[in-house]
Amino acid sequence: MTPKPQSKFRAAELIVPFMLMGGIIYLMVSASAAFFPLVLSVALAYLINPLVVFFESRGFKRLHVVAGIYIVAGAVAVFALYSLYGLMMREVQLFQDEWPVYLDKIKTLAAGLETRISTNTALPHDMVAGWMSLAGQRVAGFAESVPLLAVRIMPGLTMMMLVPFITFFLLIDGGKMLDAFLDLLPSRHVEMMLHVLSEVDQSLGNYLRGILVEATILFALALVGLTWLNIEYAGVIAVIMGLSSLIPYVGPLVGAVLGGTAAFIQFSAVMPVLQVLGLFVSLRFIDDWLLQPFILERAVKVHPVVIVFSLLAGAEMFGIWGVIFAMPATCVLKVFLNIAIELHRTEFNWKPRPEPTRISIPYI
Amino acid sequence: MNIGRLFNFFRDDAYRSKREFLMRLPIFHGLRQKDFVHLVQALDDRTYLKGETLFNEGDVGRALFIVDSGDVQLLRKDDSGKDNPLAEVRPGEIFGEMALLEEMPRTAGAQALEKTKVYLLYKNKLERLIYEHPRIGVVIVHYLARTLSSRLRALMESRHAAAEQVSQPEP
Repeated sequence: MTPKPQSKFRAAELIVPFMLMGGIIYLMVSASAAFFPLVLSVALAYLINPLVVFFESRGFKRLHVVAGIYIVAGAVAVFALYSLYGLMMREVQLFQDEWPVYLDKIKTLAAGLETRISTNTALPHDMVAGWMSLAGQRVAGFAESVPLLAVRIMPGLTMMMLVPFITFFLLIDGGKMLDAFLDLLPSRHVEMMLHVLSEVDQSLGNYLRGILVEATILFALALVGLTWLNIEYAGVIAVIMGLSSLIPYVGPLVGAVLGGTAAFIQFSAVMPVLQVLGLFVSLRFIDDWLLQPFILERAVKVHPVVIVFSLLAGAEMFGIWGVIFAMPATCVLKVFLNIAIELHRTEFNWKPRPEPTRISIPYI
Repeated sequence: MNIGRLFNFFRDDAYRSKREFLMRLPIFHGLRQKDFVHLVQALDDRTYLKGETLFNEGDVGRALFIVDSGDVQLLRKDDSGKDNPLAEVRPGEIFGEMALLEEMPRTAGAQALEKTKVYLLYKNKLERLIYEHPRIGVVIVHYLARTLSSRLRALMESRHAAAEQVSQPEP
């Protein structure tokens, strides 16, 4: 028996979905701080999910896989924190002990620089002295604000507890939330929606996994290079450089500035600074010529101008987190744009439909 | 608790039955057991309720459908625009496979006759399988080529039979 055909589309059907969407957007804007851990958790769950799927597609129950990953990740985190804590504490202690020496060095260098500028340029002595005094105040202000950083990190620590907690439930749920969302759609659009989601997943997943691998390799290379050049705080600089590598173009630049400054303060000579700069320039080329062509081969290709624009727009809208999420968001937007163009071509006949393949040789 | 029981505790029976179901399908004949690990990851699944439309005639096709349970009716419109039943697709059978070769409009619509679970294989996922696991890709594409060939042969034979019928003088 042929079932009764589905009724035709009515505009009134859109009232409830639009009201729901409006409510969600209002909630997101008015309680954006509450949504932030959720966004981070979704991002983390998205990154871990391929590992869960890896074991799930080998016949293990999802709940057990997620629990196993959390146990292993917890053990690794405790071990890493324990190891890194020792390293970081040594470097922080060293910095604390050496800070007066560095300050003296900076003062001597600044005085020398002030004399050189006054002697070799036509700039008035008072003006140069004013600049130097201002720079000194800034450095002193930074040094005084260091203890406050610990207080500022506290909400971050709360987030570190909250995000894995939410992520755990998102991972256990798997695709159930997505299924619930698809259930709300008219059934004939499910094929198209799954197509859109799979396109987004493919390009965004490739980008995120690729950039994480890239940042890890750059961190390792920077650590080895800085240790080889005998630069103090190599661990801290490499970690900051690795994290900065998640943002396009920023990693090696941050590494060069931090490493160069550390080298200059440590050795009070130009040669070590040049060596550090050489190291990070090499890392930039290794990144461009070796890592990106292989690791990000299948990720979305974004024009450099668009990358810079998206970073600036992200910074303008959401600060540092906007910069971090700028590239993933750009990837998603580009996939949506591509699909919108594809839909216009295929569904709305925006452009003439390509002719089906025709051959003149008969079937024999 | 022995090792077998412990292993069963961690093992997902739903996954096992899904893999065993897929292994029985002609489209995947020739794949090794370990190939199904990648194949399962490439498939989406979806359950449609009775009377729900999977796609309409003229919609651009993007996926192949494999019926796991339930029943799907394929419908084609006549000149007056009325849907006429074309065929019924039962568990273990596939339809919409031409979407894997060309993103062209569907030549028939599909509607669930009862609560129906299907697996979907998208063109982009098949392309990824072809590049990353060529063995799986070759098996699927070979099946599609054989299906096309047999349909073309059937069409030629029916045209030939019709032409012969016309050319024979009436007694």
